[in-house]
Amino acid sequence: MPGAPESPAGELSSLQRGHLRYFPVVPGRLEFAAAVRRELLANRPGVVAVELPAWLQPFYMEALDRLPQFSVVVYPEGGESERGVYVVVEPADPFVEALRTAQEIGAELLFLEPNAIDRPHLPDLYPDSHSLRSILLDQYIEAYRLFPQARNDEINDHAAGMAWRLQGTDSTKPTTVVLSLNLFDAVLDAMEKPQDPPRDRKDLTAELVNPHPDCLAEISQEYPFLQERYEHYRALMGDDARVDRRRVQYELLKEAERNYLAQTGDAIAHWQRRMMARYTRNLAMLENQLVAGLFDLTVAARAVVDDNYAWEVWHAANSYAWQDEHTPLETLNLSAEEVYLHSRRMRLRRRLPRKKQRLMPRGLKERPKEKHPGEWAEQLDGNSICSYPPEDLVIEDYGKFLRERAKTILREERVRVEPFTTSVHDGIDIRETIRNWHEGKIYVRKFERLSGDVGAVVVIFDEDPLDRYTYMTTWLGEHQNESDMAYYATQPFDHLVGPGIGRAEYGGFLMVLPPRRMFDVWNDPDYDFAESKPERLLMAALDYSVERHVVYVAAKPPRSIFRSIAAHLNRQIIYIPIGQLSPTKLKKLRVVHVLDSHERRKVAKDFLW
Amino acid sequence: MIVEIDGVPLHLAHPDALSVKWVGQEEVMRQLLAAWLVVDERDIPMNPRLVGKPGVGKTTLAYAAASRLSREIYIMQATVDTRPEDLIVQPVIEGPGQLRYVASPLVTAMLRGGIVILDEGNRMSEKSWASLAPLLDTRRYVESIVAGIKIQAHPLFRLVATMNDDSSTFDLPEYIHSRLQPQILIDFPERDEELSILRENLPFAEDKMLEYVTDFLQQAHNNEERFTVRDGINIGRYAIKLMTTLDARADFTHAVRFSIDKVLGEEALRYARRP
Repeated sequence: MPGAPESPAGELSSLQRGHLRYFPVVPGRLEFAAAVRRELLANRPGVVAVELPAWLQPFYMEALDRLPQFSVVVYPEGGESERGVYVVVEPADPFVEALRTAQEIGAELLFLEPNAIDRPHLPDLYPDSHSLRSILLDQYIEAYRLFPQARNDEINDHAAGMAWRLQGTDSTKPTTVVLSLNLFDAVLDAMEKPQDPPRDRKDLTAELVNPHPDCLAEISQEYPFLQERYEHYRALMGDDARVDRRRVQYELLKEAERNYLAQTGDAIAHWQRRMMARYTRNLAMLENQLVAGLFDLTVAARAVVDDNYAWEVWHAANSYAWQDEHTPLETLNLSAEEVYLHSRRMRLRRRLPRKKQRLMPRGLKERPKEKHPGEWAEQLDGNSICSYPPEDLVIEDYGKFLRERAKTILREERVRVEPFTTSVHDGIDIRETIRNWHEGKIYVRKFERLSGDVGAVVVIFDEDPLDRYTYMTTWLGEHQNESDMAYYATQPFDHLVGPGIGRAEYGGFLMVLPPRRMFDVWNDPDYDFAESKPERLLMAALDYSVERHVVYVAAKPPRSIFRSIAAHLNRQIIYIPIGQLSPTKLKKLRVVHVLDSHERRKVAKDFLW
Repeated sequence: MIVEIDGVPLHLAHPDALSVKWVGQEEVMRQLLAAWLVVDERDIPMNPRLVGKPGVGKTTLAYAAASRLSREIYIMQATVDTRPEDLIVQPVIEGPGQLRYVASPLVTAMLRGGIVILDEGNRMSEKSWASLAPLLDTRRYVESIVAGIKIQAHPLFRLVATMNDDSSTFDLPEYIHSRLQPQILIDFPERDEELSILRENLPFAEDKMLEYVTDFLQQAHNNEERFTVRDGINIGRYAIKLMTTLDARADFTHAVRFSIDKVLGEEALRYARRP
């Protein structure tokens, strides 16, 4: 932590007023939670006063007992109002940390906010708290105070109510006052004169609920992955590199990368990591932040890689080891902006609305989940397998596209450009004519005729040196327009995405028309000469193709001996480097879903992503 | 305007001026502006592509974002016939034995520090994209084979490509794909945003009618139809014209339903509320 002291004790000397020691914080930010804890552990005050509503004290105390699990206090805005307010009790919030540490050091607790009114809404634009890693806490606070918030009567009343409570504290007991930075000056001013007790509100009811583990990323101020790190860190208060946002962000992206590789078989390229770093930096800068938040990380993951990676980032950020779905409290999913509490609908707003708080990026589809682990595996039939027809159509279309592409390559190889003599052949070549303008000649193009058509298509995504693709099968077309196919893939039923629906990635495949002619390629002794799975597929392609040309798409061209074999069979291999094709299309194509019976086709679309 | 590069006079193109306004969906605007941001003179801007269904407002967004930066804007429409020389420098015969070199809107933007919108870039072949490869990485230049010159981009030059996610497209190979990053997806707008867009484009329409068209569009989006707000604007515009010619007492829903039928076909009526 360069430049930042281990304890802020010396930093805040200017904020000591008699027995009161003010500790202004940015709500919800981890760096301030850590700073509050350091302060309280260093000074061990007799009283800790926090800017929280006094009437919510019992609910907070109950929620503190539940930590490290998240809790949410939900209450109606007033009486029978349809609108509700929710307050998340989360580990990395400085107010929660103040209460928690106060309990640990045996300090008295004082809840400062008056009951009569809700907290006034103040513009919530703080400098990024990550800057505390480079500057001192009092520098941060003083810099913020140079541009104070505009005040109104509502803010003054609220500050007066808090000041009234502080004025009633025992002056013999050192008291640390933890309050929001944006209310700090208003409270200091209100402390200058004696205050009257604030009005009380009668109809105060609230409820403590357990937020569902899936919704934590949407409701928490800091994403759960970061809070989990904080929870480990606060116990020891050791090396705070553990909670360095950038480092945690890096670890989050690496974890998402690992999951992405396991789920899709695709690795993140170096250029994508670099691009994401630049893009998240820019997104954060436009928000006047130093480090991107979870929303921007997810946006960048989608923009630079794809939706699946974005989902993995979101999913990893949402992981929090301690949150349990089954607790004595009612569990609610607060992902939406509304919630049904005892069958009563409430439209929710956060108590401390944060401008930059955004929900999951739009269009990021949720994936279906099992009701209990192993639910889908229990439904495996095991009697037969079949493909998913929409994927068949996509792959057939791609086969057609590759055949056309191969023809274009062959045609382009057969174009000749020559000076015009007697015939313009297939038209004037403008570029060549202008290039040789000084000669005063006209150049013409001549396409030579293409003999033979394109038949079999082999696509190799991965040559499989590590033997990852152990599922090798040959399946026959179901109708005259569907190719026979031989492929090697990962084991589909090791990775279930729905009941009896397995997801695999192709390592490579062979497609050939007309259908219903192919024997089991993988056990055909004629191809035992092949040294690898791609070679076996290529041998079969040369064997089964009824047309002269065979397309071979891979990262590397086949061994030269295959040219001889092809020539011997009167076939020609057209090699297309895989890098010449669209990576987005290839990614879509690479996934194959295997269904364990024809019945599954009816429900498959609900489970595929 | 003529500039001279390595002794070759180049005739520049004119910037475009459209009257468009981006309504709602500030988030995608932010994403686009973030892609263009540079933080240091050693930093280089990204070359984003806007992807979405036809009619969701990709070009409008690109234009509106470029307008916010107060720069000259050049729109270049890509087609299947767009060749490398169309993108860079075109030779035009000026007289007997005389050639004039004309800079494309893209090269003009490069020279003048403007912003170029390469519209419907996915309709352009790989060969044409390949000529832009050095422009899209750290080199930031293009080479004109016909004029025999190398043109370096101004530091303020920015590029954005728009692409439809339909099938009438060429495939982008990996080396182009990795240079056209980030990919910003423009989805259908939320109900409130869609209503605002319709209101902005049809300021003379009654609120009731705009609500009706918005409901129709939202219903279609929920059913994964490809109808967009552009269709909604056309429907509204036609319905208003119909209402001025029909009996003024006629219910607007009849006019809108008739308009839906004519603009999108009878099948689309299933998403429209019955009168």
